[in-house]
Amino acid sequence: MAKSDRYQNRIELLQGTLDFLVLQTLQWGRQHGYGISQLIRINSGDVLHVDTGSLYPALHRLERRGWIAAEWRLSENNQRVRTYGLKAAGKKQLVHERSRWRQLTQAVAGVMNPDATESGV
Amino acid sequence: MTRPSWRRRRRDEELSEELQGHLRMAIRDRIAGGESPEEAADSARRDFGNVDLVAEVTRDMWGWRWLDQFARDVRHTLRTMRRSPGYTAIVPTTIIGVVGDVRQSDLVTEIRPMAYWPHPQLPYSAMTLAVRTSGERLAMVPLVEHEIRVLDPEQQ
Repeated sequence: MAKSDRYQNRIELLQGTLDFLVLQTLQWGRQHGYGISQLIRINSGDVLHVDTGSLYPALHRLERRGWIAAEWRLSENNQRVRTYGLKAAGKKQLVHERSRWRQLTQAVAGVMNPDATESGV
Repeated sequence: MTRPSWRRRRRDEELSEELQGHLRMAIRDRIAGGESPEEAADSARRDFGNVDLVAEVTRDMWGWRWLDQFARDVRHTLRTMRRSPGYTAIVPTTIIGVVGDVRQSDLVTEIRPMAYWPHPQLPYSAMTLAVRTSGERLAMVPLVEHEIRVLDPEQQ
């Protein structure tokens, strides 16, 4: 299975984490699915590769939830692309997800390094 | 409500347009990065995985299940520990059979034809199990989990 080698450094994303990353990526502006996956890859230093089989269900799920809104636009090559933008409810959700994420990373850091937990962040 | 509405057909078309657009942009970027058009098309397709499968799992989000916590719980249970990302596998070479009318994703989605192939040829990261129950739905979760583990001890 030589093909799997190049995936060894990739990190599998939990559904909640992917939702968070998508919302976070969209805060900088409207983006299509391909753009979102590229931005997540680039901004993570090429560590996080989002499977299209996870990304598109996530986008359509977030749309159903009313957190993001889809709109067809013309790309720079004059092709129709489906783009997504954050809605007000999505921005609220993003704030919530951020604080949850902070809690989680602090908790994990505490477990990894118990002596430092009292010093705060 | 047995025939797909024009609205549904239109959504299907738009989804396939959305996914094809993704592929097109990926190919274009790869060509811009120095790959030959053939290489670019090959690697972009490999990266993208099976378009039909991606469309299938995306369409799942349109039904009632996006809301249904129980279905989500079960789906998480069924998410396999992936040893290698299945979507990048190639088209299956062996088809076990084609069945004319299957309820593939849930109990309300329209029945449709479905092909089956050996799992290792096109491993799939998630499967959906729809269960109809009259009692407390969450109480079913441990029972379903147990049955799954009996069938496949490697399931999380």
